[in-house]
Amino acid sequence: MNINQQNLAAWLQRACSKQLTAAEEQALLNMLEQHPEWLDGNPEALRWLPDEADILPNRERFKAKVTEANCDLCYQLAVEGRLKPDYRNHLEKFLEAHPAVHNRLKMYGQVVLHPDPALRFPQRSRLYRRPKAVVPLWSRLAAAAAAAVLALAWLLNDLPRQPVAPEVTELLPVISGLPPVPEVMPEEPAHEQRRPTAAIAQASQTTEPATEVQPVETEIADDSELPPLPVPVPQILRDGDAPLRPQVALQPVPQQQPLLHATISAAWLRQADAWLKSLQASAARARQTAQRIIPNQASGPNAVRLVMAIGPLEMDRTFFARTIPADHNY
Amino acid sequence: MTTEQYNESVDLFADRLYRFVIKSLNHAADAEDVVQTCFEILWRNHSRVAFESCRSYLFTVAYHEILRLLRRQPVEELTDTLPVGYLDDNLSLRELLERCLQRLPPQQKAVVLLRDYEGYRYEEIAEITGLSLAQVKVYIFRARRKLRDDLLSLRHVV
Repeated sequence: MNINQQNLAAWLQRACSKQLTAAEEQALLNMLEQHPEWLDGNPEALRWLPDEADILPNRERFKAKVTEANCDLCYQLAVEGRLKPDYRNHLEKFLEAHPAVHNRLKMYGQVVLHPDPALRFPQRSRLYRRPKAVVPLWSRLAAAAAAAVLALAWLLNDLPRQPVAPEVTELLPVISGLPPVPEVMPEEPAHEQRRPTAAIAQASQTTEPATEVQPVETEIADDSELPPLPVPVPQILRDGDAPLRPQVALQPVPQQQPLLHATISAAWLRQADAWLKSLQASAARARQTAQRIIPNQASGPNAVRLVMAIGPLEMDRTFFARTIPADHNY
Repeated sequence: MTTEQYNESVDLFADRLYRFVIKSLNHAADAEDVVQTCFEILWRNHSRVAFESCRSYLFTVAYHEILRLLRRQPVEELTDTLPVGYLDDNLSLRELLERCLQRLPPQQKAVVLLRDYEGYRYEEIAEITGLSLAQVKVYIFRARRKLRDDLLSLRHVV
């Protein structure tokens, strides 16, 4: 433990940082008692010694000694209000005795910084945080219910519509007033048009034998013995003067009628085929009329509903084409 | 700390932190970034920081951010003589003092600012800066002596 004037500052620094052991502190104090003049160049000792009053028996001998070496520290502590009263008295005496030093030390009172209140942080609004919104349970449930209702409404709206839409029904009077389509409608004599069923039955007997119709189990010769059709036969086939009735043609056609399983005759098939052709002719005329009436709405809601109305008819046509071979001549 | 308390800390300390940082860095844009970073870090840890200690938390983060930025900058050699063109005749005492302040080493500057601007006690400054209490006292003593000497020489020049 070598304490001398050269390393005294380091020892005092360690003492101020409370890094010395008790033995080292005692050795340092003994050395300072023997050489109090060493404190003149070491103002750090003043910070340590006043707090250790009970350790140094003779500290009063040099405790309140204010010299030119430590007057700066004492004055700074006095400016900050941290100088102890006994030192304050000694400092006042020292300054009275040294006016030149006093003038120099007065500057310490001016080196205290003061904040500028006009200096403000310019982006304070970016620092704020919004509190998290507390969503009550009932509102979450209400939102979920509303979403479910919307989803259900969307699903219902997305289902296939009825074949006859109100817009199509509105077009029917216009369509019915148009002349018939010549290439689709068969040209038949007036007396045969009044009784189309009998005429078709007669033509069937003359053109092809009934035995060639394979799907037919029993042949019904008389018109009165025909089984009732699952759907009403269009009136166009019975009234020759009024060849086409789009109202009848666009009526909904049941998709899953037990038509396949019924015992049907060739006459009935021919009658149904003629009915189907008349329906398709009506649909073609309706499509032409719709295009003429709403030329710029090829993909609008009316056009879509027209297509949906025509769709079942096309399906029926496909059904008959599958049931009856294409090369079947009856 | 709740969100309301965090916003209250913005009200209370944003300007004070900005003054401390801008005097330490002497660069407005960097000071704004540092303040923004300090409050961002406070917000990230707001659930663990008590409202009573958020002030020292903010200044601690700011102090370390300042040192980090200053380490990246080239070290300005501090000389006893003032550079040419450093002064003009119309500087007030505050402006003179601020110019002298910029000539201090970063740590001395920070502890003096914490002491004078914020009124922190030496123990609190030691806690914020991570220095020992003796180091804080020595830094403040040397900084004031340097300020006084510079101010004296500047006054002689002016």
